[in-house]
Amino acid sequence: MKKVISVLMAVAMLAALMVPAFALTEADGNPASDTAEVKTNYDNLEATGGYYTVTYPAETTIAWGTVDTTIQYNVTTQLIPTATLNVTVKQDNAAMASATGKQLPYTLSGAGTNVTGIGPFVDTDYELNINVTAWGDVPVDSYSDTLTFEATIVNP
Amino acid sequence: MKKVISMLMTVAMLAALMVPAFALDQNTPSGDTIVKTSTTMEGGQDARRYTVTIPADTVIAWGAEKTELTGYTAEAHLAYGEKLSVTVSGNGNMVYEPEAGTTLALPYTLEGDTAYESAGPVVYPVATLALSVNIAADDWNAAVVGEYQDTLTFTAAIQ
Repeated sequence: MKKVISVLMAVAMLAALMVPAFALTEADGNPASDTAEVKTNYDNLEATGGYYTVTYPAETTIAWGTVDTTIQYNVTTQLIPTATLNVTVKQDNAAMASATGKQLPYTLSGAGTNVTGIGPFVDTDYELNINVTAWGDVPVDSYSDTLTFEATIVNP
Repeated sequence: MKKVISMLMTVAMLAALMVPAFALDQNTPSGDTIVKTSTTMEGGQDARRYTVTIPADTVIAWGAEKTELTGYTAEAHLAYGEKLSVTVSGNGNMVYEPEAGTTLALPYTLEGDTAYESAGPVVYPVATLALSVNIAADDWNAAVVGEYQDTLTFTAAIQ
């Protein structure tokens, strides 16, 4: 009885180790060969379009009197082949404001303010400019505003 | 121990070099960054500044009861709450020394922006200020003809 049980356990262990596979049968003394395919798909990314990162500075300080200040940001993408990425940068207000309520108007310019059709596999830097000309019209103070970066995957 | 200290110092140095940045990704597609001005200029100098130009030497024609001085201007870029003040003073008498030991006086008064204070911290564009030297007709008539002169002192300050 003990011998029967041990043989049955051995067979069970062997069966647990067996991996489904094609069978190669040696015939006439020659080795047999066949192929098996491995591939990826991106079904799990169809809904979102893939991955991206837009890295931008947390804060930009403009020296008093500077007319043009450049901000640089980086975009990396890993998207499905049919997708592209758009990035926009917008100023929250038309002017930077001081704690006392004074307003210093400014504008944004440059290609980096509105980038469309960024490809599915890139690592690229973009630039935009902050333009301030009305320095002489306001008291010297610290003025600030917020820029909003927004990224959108298109045609996922 | 030396290896531990050197590794900790390396990490601290790397942290000091890191520039703060934010990132968007597929889970966070929108984010903000702050833009702000400093109160120093590109070369590090204080952005608060003013310029007061004063008249060049002015010749008063004999007998002129009122002579306007030109070239007296002010421009200011100061901080909130500050003002520019400019005062002008003279001795009240122009003096002529025809010979050693002899001094003749011709009285005069100043009129205009002799005690100027800006309305606020910004004087821009440049403001033209008024200043004249007034000599009464009686004083002219009582004076020996000669070259009388005095010095006007302009003093500017941030209030």
